[in-house]
Amino acid sequence: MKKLVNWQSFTAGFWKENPILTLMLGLCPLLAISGSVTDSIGMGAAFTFVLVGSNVIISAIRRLVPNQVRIPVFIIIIAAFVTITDYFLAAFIPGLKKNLGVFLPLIVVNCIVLGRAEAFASRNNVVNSLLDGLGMGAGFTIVIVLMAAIREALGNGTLGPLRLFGPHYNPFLIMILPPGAFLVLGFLIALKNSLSERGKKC
Amino acid sequence: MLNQLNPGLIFLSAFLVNNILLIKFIALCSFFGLSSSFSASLGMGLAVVFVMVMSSSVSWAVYHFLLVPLHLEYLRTTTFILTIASLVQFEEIIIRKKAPALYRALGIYLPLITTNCAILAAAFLGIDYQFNFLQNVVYSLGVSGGYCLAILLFAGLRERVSSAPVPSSFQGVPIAFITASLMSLAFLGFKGLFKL
Amino acid sequence: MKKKELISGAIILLVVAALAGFLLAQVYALTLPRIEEQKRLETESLYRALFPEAAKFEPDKIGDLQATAVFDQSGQKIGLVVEKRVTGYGGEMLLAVGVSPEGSISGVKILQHNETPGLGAKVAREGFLKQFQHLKYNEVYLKNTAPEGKIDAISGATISSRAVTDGVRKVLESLRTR
Repeated sequence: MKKLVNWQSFTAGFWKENPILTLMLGLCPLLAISGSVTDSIGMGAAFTFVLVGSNVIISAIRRLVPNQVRIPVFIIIIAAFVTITDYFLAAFIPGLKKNLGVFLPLIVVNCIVLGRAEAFASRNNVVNSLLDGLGMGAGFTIVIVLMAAIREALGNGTLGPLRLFGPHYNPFLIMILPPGAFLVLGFLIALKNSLSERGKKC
Repeated sequence: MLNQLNPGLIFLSAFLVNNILLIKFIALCSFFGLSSSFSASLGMGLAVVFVMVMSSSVSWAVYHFLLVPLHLEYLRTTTFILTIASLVQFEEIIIRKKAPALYRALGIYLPLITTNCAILAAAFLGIDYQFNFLQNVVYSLGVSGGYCLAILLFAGLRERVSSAPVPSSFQGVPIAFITASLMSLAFLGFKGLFKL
Repeated sequence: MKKKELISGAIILLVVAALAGFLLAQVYALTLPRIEEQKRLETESLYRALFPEAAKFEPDKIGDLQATAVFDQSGQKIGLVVEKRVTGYGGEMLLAVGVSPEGSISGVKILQHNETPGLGAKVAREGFLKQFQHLKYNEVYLKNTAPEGKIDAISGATISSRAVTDGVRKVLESLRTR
């Protein structure tokens, strides 16, 4: 019998099954948003909200949904949460919504969200699904903020509102441009690989 | 803005200057998951062209003829993704009947297109750029073409890299990203290509 | 048995879709006033950035230029804001030019652009845009391109700088010829 509250569901998302570095999922928003720390925190928060919300609802109704219609049902639920996030941001934090651009609605097709719904939420109880959502969301947020910290610090000399290296810093421009994103992520994954001596693919 | 240009420029802009994979960063899951094999990449690329043009067109029609008149714009995300999912199912059935070899070649990648960020993104951007129907078609051709181009170039590069001596922690995915970084750098050069 | 599953499946799908649709309609209705408010605030803060005493705005068509007339608290017209699209290095840019009744520039803001961060994007900064204030139309040229040109281009971003300068000058020119 599965445990009612399995804390491992939460911790797995951080390292062992970190959605980005290990499972290689959900890359789309990662490279585009990680140019700015503040945007990345916002993206992480939005993403976690959608993930937790959809995980919880899907887990709650998992016994009611017959097999053939499960994918469309999941999609509708996820899309609903994404739309809610979209309109709330437009109303209360329009600057973030403008910076996230098309990547906000793209959370709908984010491999992580659909993947967790299918692989976890539809088979586990609500509490664990909640924890899984939080853990995966946290894992995602940590990576994207870390990437943003590196890219923004090197490419712009700032970290959110802080100027890091003084006004005469000549920024490593490539870092905030697309190639820099690929570069930083490549190195981060290599680092993780060498730290844990294995790597998996999506 | 973009919708005031002639179709040729709209296509070029989507194909090269704002290449969906290397500049806009959309659809990367499929990019890295697939491109280790050239033939799988070709299959995926063609499937994406087919699906994207159709779903962009249908989504455009649904938005302009259904959602807008009924003031249901907020259902955009939901209806688009459901449209895409249905179209993919539909196309899967057709391909299985008409071109079974292609169906086998695509394997799991055909249903996977549903979660291909590029398809949904192209549908969204077609609306955001305020294209008319024809411009939308040209745009989706450019986007899917650009996707094809990037994925094929990348697959070719990866096949070369896989036979090169790469440090163990970099093997597989990390070196792929670094390769992509260099490709992206090259495509950045298209930015000043023409005065849009 | 299969048919029963199909029917129950369809019912669940419809129920979920209906609930989701209903929920979204509520969220939309709830957030709509706030969203409109945000848009209004954004336009107003733009106008205030160009004209500090701005209090009221009205659309004003000048020839074929779409502009907004700006009035202060007492109802006096203090200027005009004209939006202009220009072609920069990375694509289209949208400028907002504030022009005082005497025809001098009160300010320039970049509303949208696609320029390279760290290079062309610097034209959106105050440091560059400040140069346009109070210039007469024959001074709105890059320094080396015309005898009275007063605008210093951003080093490494000549195309972006020129695009903005030419755009501002064209706004002044069209206002002069009306």
